[in-house]
Amino acid sequence: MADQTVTRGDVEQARDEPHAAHQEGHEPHHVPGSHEPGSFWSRYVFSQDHKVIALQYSITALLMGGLGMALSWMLRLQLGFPGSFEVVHPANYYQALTQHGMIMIVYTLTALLLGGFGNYLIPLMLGARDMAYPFLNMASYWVYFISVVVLLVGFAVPGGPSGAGWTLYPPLSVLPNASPGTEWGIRFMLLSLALFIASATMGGLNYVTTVLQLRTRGMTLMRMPLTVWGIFLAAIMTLLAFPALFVGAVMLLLDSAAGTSFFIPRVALFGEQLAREGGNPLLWQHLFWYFGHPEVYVVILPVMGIVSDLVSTHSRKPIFGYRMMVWSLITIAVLSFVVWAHHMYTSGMNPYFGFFFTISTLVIAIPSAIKTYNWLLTLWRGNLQLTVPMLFAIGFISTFAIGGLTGLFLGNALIDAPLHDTYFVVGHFHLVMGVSALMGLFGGIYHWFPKVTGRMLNATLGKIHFWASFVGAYAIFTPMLFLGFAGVPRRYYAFDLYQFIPPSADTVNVFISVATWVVGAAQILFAANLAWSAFRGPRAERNPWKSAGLEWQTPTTPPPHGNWGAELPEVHRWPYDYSLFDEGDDYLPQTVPAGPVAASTPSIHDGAQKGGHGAG
Amino acid sequence: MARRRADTELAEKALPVRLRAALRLGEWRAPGGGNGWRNGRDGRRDSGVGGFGSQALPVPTSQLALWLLLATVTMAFSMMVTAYVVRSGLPDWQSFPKPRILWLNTGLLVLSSAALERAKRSVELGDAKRLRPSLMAGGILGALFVLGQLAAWRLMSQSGLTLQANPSTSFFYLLTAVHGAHVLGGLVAWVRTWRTARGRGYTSDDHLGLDLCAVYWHFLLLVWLVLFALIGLA
Repeated sequence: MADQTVTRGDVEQARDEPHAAHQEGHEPHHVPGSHEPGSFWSRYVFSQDHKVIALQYSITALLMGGLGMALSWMLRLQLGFPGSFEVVHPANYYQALTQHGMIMIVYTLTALLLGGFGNYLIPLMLGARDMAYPFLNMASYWVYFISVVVLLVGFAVPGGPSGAGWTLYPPLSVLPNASPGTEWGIRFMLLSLALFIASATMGGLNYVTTVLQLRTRGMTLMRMPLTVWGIFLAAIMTLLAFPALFVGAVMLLLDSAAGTSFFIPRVALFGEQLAREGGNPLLWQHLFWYFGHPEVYVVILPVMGIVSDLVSTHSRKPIFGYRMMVWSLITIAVLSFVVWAHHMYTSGMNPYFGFFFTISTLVIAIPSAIKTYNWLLTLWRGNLQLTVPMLFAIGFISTFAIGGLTGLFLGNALIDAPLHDTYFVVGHFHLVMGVSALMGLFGGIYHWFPKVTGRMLNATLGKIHFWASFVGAYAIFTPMLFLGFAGVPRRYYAFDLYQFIPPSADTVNVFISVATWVVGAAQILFAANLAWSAFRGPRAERNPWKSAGLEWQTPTTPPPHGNWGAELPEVHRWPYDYSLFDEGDDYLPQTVPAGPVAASTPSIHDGAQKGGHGAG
Repeated sequence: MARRRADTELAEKALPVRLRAALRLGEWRAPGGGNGWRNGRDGRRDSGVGGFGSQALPVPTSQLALWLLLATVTMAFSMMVTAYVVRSGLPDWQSFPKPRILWLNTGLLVLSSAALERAKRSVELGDAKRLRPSLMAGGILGALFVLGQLAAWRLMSQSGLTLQANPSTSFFYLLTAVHGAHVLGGLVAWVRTWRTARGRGYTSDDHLGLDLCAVYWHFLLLVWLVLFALIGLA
């Protein structure tokens, strides 16, 4: 490529003609223009277009999130005002608790981040026309949908859904009358999980092969945006971690329905010796957590990638230390497979296991910390645009840092001993998963909404949504950390029988409950914003955030079927070329040909001396 | 309308100008001449559009997808095998005599793999005559394997070695069931391969589907040999 100074004209040309002429060298999955599906059913229901599938996943997952939130309100009714509401009694309290956890982690966060964000963004960010296997992609959504139906049917079966906690520990989860839902609920839950795992495997295969094989010309792995890296690595983890839960679920289902004893030891239930023997509950814990720990990183890795892209775009700065960010993601992904037993410190296993897993758990904090420093260094002296996505991204950094620090307490086997199964744990995992993952996710929704719909979400409502969620989430979960220090146990219906729990805990619980409903109202506001703006929101420019990412370079917005029109784009640079010029647009999209950039415009210092850099 | 347009403008700065200047926000400048990143703006260091990393891996995509699937399946069997090995080492493990038909079934699976390998080789050598009989034999032998496993189950449960009898039998049924389910999945793939062979046909240049079917088959044979050895030793 000849040395050419990239001029303003080149930039404008690249913007007007978003992709250079280029032959499709990859497997042509879509001949442009000839793949238009026909009927309503094939366009909107059984579509093989990754964008439609992504929306299907997202809408289903957000609806499930609403259900999970409603279940949490039931819990807060009881915890804030014990015994005051007849609708909540001990049995359905545990069912609400169990279903809230399982729905939020699996059916909302995992599905939305991998199925929603992954499906929508991967082909667009890589310059591909669609996923590697569009039919498999469609099938993966419908299997997910069926898994949701099976889960919801489990709410209505005799005995109701399982109330054994989202971790479904045997023998309580399967012995008759030992916990709610042991009759049918647990079986429907396990069947639903097995279906979800099948769907996630299909999806994971698609994402990994697409990232490896369908990148457009010039898109090297180290030119991919960090969003793609996060989702790519999460997909690999999915393929390797979910089988453990699948195996465990099959075994637990047999214990529940077929009288086997994989997990059931010699046990007496309500004073009666059962005929079962020979199993070990610890086996379930190992299998579950071998899945469970990578699962939480499957949730957070895409969010970390998304936040990196949000922070850089809205600071007008490249992400600080891109290479380290990639390696940190890889390190976290690998290490997440050797920390699982930090969920089992108090299970009675050999203390030397605690020693090993404490070390590995503390080590995994290192790449997470590196990423946090890099986000902060990206913000440092950046040209900060405090848009709604940026607010959520900064909110993520804050809550992830605090929540992550509380994880260091729990990661130490010794300190975990008094904190395990207390509200400290509940505060910790909600801060990192329920708050910071949601912050990053919401930021991503506000950021890419104009791409998906061609309209902007209302920014005023967005700011209300942010501040209510941010302040409210701290109001909800920080007190829980202190409740945990005081020894208040988790998964308890009521605390009135315990003298060591002071009455102030009840006051705190009232406060938390009220805060929960305020935050909940903000989410409803967000849902209304989403629904209204999708159809009536103000039309957005093609690239309202002036992002350098490839996904903003499609010929139309929303992108057409096949994404790129006649020619695939050709990539010449990474997606973080910001703050390059002082006038007009200050960025270079990935498709602009490479060449030394002319530093021909006045520096920002001159602008400041002349009375302030543009107030906008 | 004017207010809404402001939403879309990037210059939506929430901080007053003097505060921004005091915090020296926006002062970061992109370093001229490239910032050291090879994929940055400096054209001299642009790696262009070729080279390692900018292209797909040098394997067919469906082969990559199959290897990823095999990784997932390997994890599942590894979990079960680990649980089985640990459990079988405990003092209360009650071993039981394994039905002799398992040896026959193993033989059937070996022959089935051999037949598919033969089918693959015949296409590579351009010998279309041997393709169809070998391919058919592979599928039939695989189906016979599944039937043989079901027969083994029948024999065992008739002699009181049911699924629920003790952990030893439970693990046996679990391992053989999961493996058998994967063989059934392989038979689905075999049906598609058969239909392709009969339809557009495989040539020495174009036989990827047949290759992948054979790879999957051999994988399941390998898994079975490991399971069979462990079951026999336990």
